[in-house]
Amino acid sequence: MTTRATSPQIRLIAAEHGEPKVISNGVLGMLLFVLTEIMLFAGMISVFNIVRASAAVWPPPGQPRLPVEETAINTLALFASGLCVYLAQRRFAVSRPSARTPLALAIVLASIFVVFQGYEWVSMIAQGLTLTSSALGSFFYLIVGMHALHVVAALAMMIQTWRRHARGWLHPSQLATTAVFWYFVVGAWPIIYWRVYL
Amino acid sequence: MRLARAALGAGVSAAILFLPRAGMACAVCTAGRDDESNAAFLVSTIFLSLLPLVALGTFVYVLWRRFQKLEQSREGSSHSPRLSPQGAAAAEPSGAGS
Repeated sequence: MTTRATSPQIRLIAAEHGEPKVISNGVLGMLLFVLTEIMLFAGMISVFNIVRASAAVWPPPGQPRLPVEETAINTLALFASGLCVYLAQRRFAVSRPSARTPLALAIVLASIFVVFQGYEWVSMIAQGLTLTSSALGSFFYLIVGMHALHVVAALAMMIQTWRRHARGWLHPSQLATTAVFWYFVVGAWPIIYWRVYL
Repeated sequence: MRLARAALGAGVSAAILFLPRAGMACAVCTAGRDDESNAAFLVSTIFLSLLPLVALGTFVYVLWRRFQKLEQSREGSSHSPRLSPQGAAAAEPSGAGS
């Protein structure tokens, strides 16, 4: 995509040597993917809202209470992880080696979030909340499970990014691509927490 | 006996009249919460209708802003001797444009 007949040309993507570019290919692809993911989660949360508003009693009788306080603490870990990725990006732009620590910290915090979610699921299943026990169980495992799947995928991306950084192969656009996905995962969680847990 | 038959007939008639309605009842019966249900449907419809527009609009706006910044920085750097209009025109690749 070009705008003027005279160079230097500004391209939307796929810049060649020395030409400015608006956005890298990886970030553009990830942004488009995130747009579709936003619609996926919006659809699931909307259906959950309708079922919840239509139910005579909510939460369904005989079902355990969701761990609101414990998950709030876990949410802080996820937020802190997002902050660490942001810091890693900032530091990477100034001094590449200095991005290693916040990136590693983000991976640790994200892992804590995933492990606690797993622990929470085991606890909920033990208390009788299963995929088929009620509408709450179905939507809880569907929405939170889908988010957890994204967290695990983003965590794998972050580990790969960290490994590339440790070997000195990391390109700024690769870090930005991972960051976009992680920001989406972090940004979607408060909405899920608000609608499903509260 | 006649009474029993009448009762049976009444029961069957009542079943024919009312059971299909119960059988065809919506699986997500709103149980008297029609207002809340309607509001949820309305809000969800508005939300899902606007969300893609807002998301795509934000996406395009961010691209446009980045494009504008690059244009400004290009114009700023065009004052330097290396990227003067003559120099830039001379350095333009002939086949570039995609």
